Amino acid sequence: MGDLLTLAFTSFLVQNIILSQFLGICSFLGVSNKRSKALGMGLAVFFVITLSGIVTWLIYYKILEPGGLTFMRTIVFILVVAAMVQILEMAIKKFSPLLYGSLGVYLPLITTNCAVLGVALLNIQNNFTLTETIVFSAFTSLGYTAVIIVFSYIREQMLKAPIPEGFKGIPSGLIAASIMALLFKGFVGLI
Amino acid sequence: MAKKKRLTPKQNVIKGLIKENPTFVLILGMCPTLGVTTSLENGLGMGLSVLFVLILTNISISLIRNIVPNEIRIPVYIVVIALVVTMLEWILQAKFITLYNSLGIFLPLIVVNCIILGRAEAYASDNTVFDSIFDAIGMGLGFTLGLSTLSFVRELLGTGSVQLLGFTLFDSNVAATFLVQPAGAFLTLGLIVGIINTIKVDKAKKKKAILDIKIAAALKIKAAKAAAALQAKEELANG
Amino acid sequence: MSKTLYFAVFLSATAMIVTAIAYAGYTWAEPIIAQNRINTIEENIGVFFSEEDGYSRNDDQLENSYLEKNYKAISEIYEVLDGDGEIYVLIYNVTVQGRNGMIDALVAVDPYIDKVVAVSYYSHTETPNIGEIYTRDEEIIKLIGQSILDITIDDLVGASAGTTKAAIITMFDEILNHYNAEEVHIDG
Repeated sequence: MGDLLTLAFTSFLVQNIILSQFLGICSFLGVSNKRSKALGMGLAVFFVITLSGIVTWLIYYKILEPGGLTFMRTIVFILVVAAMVQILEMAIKKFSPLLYGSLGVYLPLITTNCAVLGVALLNIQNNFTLTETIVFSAFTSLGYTAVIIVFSYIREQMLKAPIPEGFKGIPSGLIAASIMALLFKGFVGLI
Repeated sequence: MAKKKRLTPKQNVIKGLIKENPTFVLILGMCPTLGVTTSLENGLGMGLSVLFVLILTNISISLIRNIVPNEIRIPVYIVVIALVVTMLEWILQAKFITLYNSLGIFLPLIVVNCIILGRAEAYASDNTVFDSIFDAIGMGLGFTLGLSTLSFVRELLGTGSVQLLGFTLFDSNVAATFLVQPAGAFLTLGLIVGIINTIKVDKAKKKKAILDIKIAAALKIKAAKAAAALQAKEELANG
Repeated sequence: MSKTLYFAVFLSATAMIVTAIAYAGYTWAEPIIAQNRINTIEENIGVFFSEEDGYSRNDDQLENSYLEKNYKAISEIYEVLDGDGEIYVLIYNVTVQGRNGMIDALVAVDPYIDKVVAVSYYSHTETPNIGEIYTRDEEIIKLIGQSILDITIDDLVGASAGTTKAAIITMFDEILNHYNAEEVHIDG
């Protein structure tokens, strides 16, 4: 149990997926300029990463390995992610049109989010058991959600600041992210 | 619908290198840009890998662009890209194990690199194989240029010397090691993109200023002409 | 032919072609990769204990009698014999989870005086210029001569690689676990 807690803490803070592992940056920069967008994207990513982490783990250990097909890993994983996103989009559309209205437009973008495929591959690479996979995927994606939401607050505030013309938008966002990354580096010593 | 202007191969390549540079202008493929640029060798290796994948996928997709039904083209493109990346993984693991190890998780993540799917969708699915090859070369070289610049700066200022294939290119006693850390990656990229944007904005302002002067001059001439015409009319009426 | 049927056929054909190409590539690459790995291990052992100096590998070693219980991190232990056929060092082949992937290392331990004789990281994916510094000679030198019962690892000057350092500490902990549990120490 202690191991799982350490794993959860590490994947959420210490090895935060955006600020330490550099996965999911494209969407992080593109979507974090408004609070509502960030919240929507963050939640959608949380669902997709957790579910696809579990599903890809199951497929790898129950189908690919026994069948001697481990070499198809990358191809199968990315197809699974794409399929999951499609299914999730259809499910949300059907069961909650309200949720679909706010989340739905981000779902197709998540297929090409490095974080999703990255977490799926990391689960296999680190030889996790199923419980460890669930914990790792859930908390990694929560780390993503937390950072993107906090960041959107920061960026909305930055809009009011007198930033030179050339640095508005992405460059100032990147510099703010660098300061956040410095803060998170301090967490390494906590374990 | 206006006919699309066909670019010469040279224009295609230059477009990818400068005007539509994936790293500094389009802001695509950010994950490897920040993740593997801790050393120049790494940055170059990743850039060349992406170039390799881009060329192959652009060729493949351009070849099958007419057979693939429109509705299922995205999954098919994804599968093609995944196949090329998987093959690259094995080639690197078998022959260039050091590069394979230093790229780490970012090697299979080339599959979801927005540049590759973006070019496949935007260019290769509409153009001939010949044009697609040059578009791929341009974009790939542009990406390599972006990565190399970033990793050069980070390694030089972060560790004091730049290593390339065993040769030390520079050596200095300045080392701000925070630059090779994740925070330094964000900072360096932010500064570089900011500087490039500032230059662009300045250029645009200058252009606009010149344009304003021209417009003002033209308006002045027009006003003078109108006044002269009015005066001539009056003289005619009086005289 | 109806559209859906055409799609299904097209997709299955694509799937089969892709699998075939992937399989071909895999069968070509896999033996090379496996052989490379074995070669690297042999090379790394050979650097420190080469046959020319009279050391030889104990092929007689009872099928890893040291590993009767399953130790997750230790995949093999090699016995290196000196010219007289006596055990000279034991080499642990350990694998631990590093920052970006697994770290494979060979740690040579002298069972008579419980000290580390040599360390070699033969496969790792640590970040260049950060965690990778630990795998360089200048850091390995600091480990040689330390007692296996009490290893200290220094922080890096400048770049901080906390996760990699933690991984290396774990690695030596695993070795120490095995060392104590199996009473590897040899008197005399």
